[in-house]
Amino acid sequence: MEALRLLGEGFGVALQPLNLALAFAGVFTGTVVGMLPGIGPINAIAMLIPLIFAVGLPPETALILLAGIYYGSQYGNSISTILLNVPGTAAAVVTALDGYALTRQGRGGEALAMSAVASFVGGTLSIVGLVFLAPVLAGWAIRFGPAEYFALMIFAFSALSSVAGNSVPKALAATGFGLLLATVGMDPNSAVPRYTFGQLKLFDGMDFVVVTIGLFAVSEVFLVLQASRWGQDASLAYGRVTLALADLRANVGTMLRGSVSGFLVGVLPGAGGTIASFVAYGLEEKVAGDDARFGEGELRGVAAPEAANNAATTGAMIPLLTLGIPGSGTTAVLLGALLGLGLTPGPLLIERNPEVFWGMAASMYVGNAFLLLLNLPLVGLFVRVLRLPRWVLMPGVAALSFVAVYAVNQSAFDLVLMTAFGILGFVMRRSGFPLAPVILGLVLGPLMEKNLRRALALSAGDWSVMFSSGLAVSLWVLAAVSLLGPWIWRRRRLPDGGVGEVD
Amino acid sequence: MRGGRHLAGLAILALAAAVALEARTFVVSFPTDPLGPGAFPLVAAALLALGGGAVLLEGSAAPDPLPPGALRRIVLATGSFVAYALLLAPLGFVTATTLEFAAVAVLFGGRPLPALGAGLGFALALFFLFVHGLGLPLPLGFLAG
Repeated sequence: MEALRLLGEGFGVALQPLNLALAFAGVFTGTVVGMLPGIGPINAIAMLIPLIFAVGLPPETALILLAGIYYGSQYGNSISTILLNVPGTAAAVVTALDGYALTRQGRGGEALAMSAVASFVGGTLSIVGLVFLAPVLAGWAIRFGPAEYFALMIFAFSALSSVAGNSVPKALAATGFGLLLATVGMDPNSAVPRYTFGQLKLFDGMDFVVVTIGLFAVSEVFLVLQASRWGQDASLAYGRVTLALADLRANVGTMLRGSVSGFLVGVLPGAGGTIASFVAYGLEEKVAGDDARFGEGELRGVAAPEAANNAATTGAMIPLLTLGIPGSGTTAVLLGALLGLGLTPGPLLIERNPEVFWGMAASMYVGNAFLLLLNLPLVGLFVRVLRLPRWVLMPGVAALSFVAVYAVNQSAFDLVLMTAFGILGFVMRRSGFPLAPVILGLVLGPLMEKNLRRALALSAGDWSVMFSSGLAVSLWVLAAVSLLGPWIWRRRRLPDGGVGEVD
Repeated sequence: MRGGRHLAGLAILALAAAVALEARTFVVSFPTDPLGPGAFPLVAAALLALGGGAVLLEGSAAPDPLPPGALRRIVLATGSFVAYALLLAPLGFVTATTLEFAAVAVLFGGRPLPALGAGLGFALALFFLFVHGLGLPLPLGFLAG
């Protein structure tokens, strides 16, 4: 059991006092930032990344902090979803159905406890899957050449485009825009400046932190500002944050099913937490039959998507770490962070940086345990933050965005750029364009261009190299099916279907 | 609002055309690879054109009109963000952030004095956390003397 021995060493890394403290700090800050209405995990991570860089931690320690932030922000997102009915991600929309219904019945505390336990179960089980599946996938991916990588990235884009929002054309345009942003700056091969308009500040390219915070967080400030009245849930009564043993026992099957289905969906690039929680919720409705009252405050309606969502988070780490292919906006931001730490996610990561991979796997587990042990008693504290009036919360979000963006380059230009992306994100969201493909395009663009140019350099300009191996051809076919399949299916079945913005 | 339905598609197509035109100016004196710097931007332009064309055909419902006063608030907020960017270095982090927090808070319906107080508290907390806790360089401004 080579994997178990390495995981044991990983725990050795994760349980060092500094790393343990940082895992807790990450989970805690992630929860607080991820909980802010409408902010959600992607902004929590984007806001905290520059701070991680600034402190100059070693890669495995920085990753542990990142993983803590990731898990914490998801739980924080669940808190505002259940108590305020403001899901920060599409994945949490499913949790809102029964979670908020429970809150209105004064049983929000039970829903929060259920969410924490289910997240823990989903996270724990899926880490087992990660430990065994990731090395296998990495061993297989070592055979990938540039043409296969290019096709794989096309597959990631088309998978994301088919789930992001309800319009494939809009998702395609958003992807193209992200790829365009990726080309801004000096071309690494030829040193030709592209789309810089003579601005020296743009020669280094667009920083994904600036773009992400602008598109998501700043546009959120504008979106909230647009509303004429701000309803404030004054009471936020949630009862006691405990779960009866009988309820826990009744949900064991639900959590297990949610974890397994969530993990499997999460491994697919592009699918991620959104599909995972929808699938798990649908599955549970079928299993429960007619006696359950889903949508009216059913605990199983919280347990299933929360377990699935967390399991999918771990599942999404597999393509991210072994192939270097993120499947969602959030994992794209994580990829940007990994590259910034000098790590190259890909088949060789596990081999070259075993302490990073196994340390992170172990710390994901530790992070999940922290969530369960510490966040439940602290819910009262978190709710106090949520009770702050809008006029304190939203300027706080703006100020945090400024600090995070300024920390990247200490540049006022970046702050103006962030504001411009904020306006753009606001317009895009109002017009129904998904934002996640922009981030994915921005982060994957340089890798895509590098692989495309390398493939064609090796073939001396012969484009048939892109389709020369069976693996590449099957990836292209998968990409076409995942892009057009759901579109055609949805046009037939659901005239206005779609799942909204993906995480 | 027939124009509104086509606005998004047309704007994307125009962007795609501009991107493609600009890509033709990326020339290298001696090529390092068969594709050169202009090819990948053309891929991005092609995706934009494909998506934009399809959006044009599909039609994109114009977003709901902004509620009264919303545009004014958004313009003011944007102005305050840009002002913050320009004033951060001369005023220093604490002063600039306090003023900016207060300005945004007032736009969100806060009263000026409590907004200034909350802003000062938040700015000081961030400052001590980041500068003293994490060693992040934030401009000190005139407060540093």
